[in-house]
Amino acid sequence: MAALSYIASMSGSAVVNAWRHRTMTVITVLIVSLMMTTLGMFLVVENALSVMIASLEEQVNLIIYLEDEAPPSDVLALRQELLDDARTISVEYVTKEQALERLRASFQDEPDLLQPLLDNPLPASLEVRSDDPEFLQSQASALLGNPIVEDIDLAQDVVDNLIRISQVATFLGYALGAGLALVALFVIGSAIRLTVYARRGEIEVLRLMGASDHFIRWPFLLEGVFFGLIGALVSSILVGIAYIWVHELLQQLISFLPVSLDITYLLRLILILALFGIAIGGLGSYLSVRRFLTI
Amino acid sequence: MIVLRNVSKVYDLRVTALDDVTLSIPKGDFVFLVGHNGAGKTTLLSLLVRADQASSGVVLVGGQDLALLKESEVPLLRRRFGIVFQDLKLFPKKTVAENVALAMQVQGCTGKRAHISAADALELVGLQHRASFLPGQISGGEQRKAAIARAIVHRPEIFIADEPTASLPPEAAWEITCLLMEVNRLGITTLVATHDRDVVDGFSRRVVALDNGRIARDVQIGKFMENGVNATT
Ligand SMILES: Nc1ncnc2c1ncn2[C@@H]1O[C@H](COP(=O)(O)OP(=O)(O)OP(=O)(O)O)[C@@H](O)[C@H]1O
Ligand SMILES: [Mg+2]
Repeated sequence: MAALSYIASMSGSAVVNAWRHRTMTVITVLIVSLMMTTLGMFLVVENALSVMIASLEEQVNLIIYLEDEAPPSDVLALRQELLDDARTISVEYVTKEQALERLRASFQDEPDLLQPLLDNPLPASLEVRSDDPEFLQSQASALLGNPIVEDIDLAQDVVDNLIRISQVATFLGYALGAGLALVALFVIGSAIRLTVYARRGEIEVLRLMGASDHFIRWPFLLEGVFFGLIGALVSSILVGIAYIWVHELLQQLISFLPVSLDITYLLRLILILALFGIAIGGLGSYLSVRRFLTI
Repeated sequence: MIVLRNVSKVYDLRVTALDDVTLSIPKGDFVFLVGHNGAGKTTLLSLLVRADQASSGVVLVGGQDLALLKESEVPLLRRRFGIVFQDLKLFPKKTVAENVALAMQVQGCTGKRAHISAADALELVGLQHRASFLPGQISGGEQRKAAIARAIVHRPEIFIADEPTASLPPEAAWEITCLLMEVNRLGITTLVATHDRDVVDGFSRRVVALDNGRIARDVQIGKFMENGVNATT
């Protein structure tokens, strides 16, 4: 209880201090919020990309185009062999007719274009789904020599690109986040320095009264944490809105898969922002107090 | 027990504030420290709490050589003191009670107990009815009492007051000095730097007179004026 009331009174003085230097407080809170919102946005984008990649990875197809003359028993054997592997999710047999049907469907708007096709030139195929790209890769090279196989199509480029984009985005996000975190540290440090300066008289008296470093630093650290938490609050709201918006966008983009709104993820995001705010605020004021509180 | 042995303090290699001062103050003693402006009274007091360090000589507080004190031990030394500053240094945005309680919190005492002790100290100086006032809302004499309450709330071993009666009307100065005697009766070693000749003359106590940083007189039960040495300006 006593410790609580002490912290309460100290937090109170942090708020009072923040109010006394309104302009600096507003600037500090704005910059800290901006920094943390940017960080949060990158986390949301990264999350969206990873959801997309996961859903697209499920669709990774190794398409094995079959020779027209391939004996059905060999095709069935190959299908079974693939199905027996645990890494295979499914194997779908697409007949020549189904292939033509799909082609027709995709050219619905221009049926004339397909009119001259009297003989069906499309091969039958096995579509293999797996979430293990390496497995598909090895199957692809192994099957190239198979006599019943006409051609192989490894439809992985899209995913590869997405993974690369996501890696770049993550890297950029962290680089930008780190840069902005430094700016936030500096700004919080400056704000704390200002309060230290404004209170240097009081600090000197406290020192003469025998106050420990710890006793004197506490309120300043709390003030820094207070800045960080306000930044976390503002950015949580903005990032939360952005998350819901991005979620809707994803839902439209990957309409074939239900993407549920992940509340746990959102809560974790807010927790990360809060912890980050506390860390940045505490560190910023700690460094500032160490440097400037030498009276 | 406070001991100064051949203590000198030179500021900026030019100003000699204290010059070869040797002085011993037993536990529980009451001492008036007198001398004109710039005689070195504040300097002497600041050496005791290690707000400054002697240029030469030895300063002992309770047998402890302050020159050997580690920086981390300075707060502990200061907590054994209660100080009334020349300019009081009350926190203007804190109430009288909060100002006094702060001295307890500095000692590591938490909120509620600090405020109970503060109320006791305010009662001792007769200021309980001003507890919730800001320092700016009370009279000069009451401000001194608040500063005294803050200095004794943690029952220090040594109480030092720098000009506690300066610019007060005689009756108020008298009242404050009576309060200082009361502090001393609690068993607290008391050192009072002052200009006020009426005060010193009115209370028969030990007087140490400084003149230009040197000890001019040290009279056990003394008067301000003696042997024609005028310690005031
Ligand atoms: N921090 C300092 N730097 C330089 N000189 C100082 C410093 N503090 C005090 N002095 C000088 O040391 C001398 C003694 O000063 P001190 O404050 O101890 O006098 P005092 O007896 O308290 O005077 P007063 O009655 O005016 O308070 C003075 O000449 C003063 O100018
Ligand atoms: Mg002085």
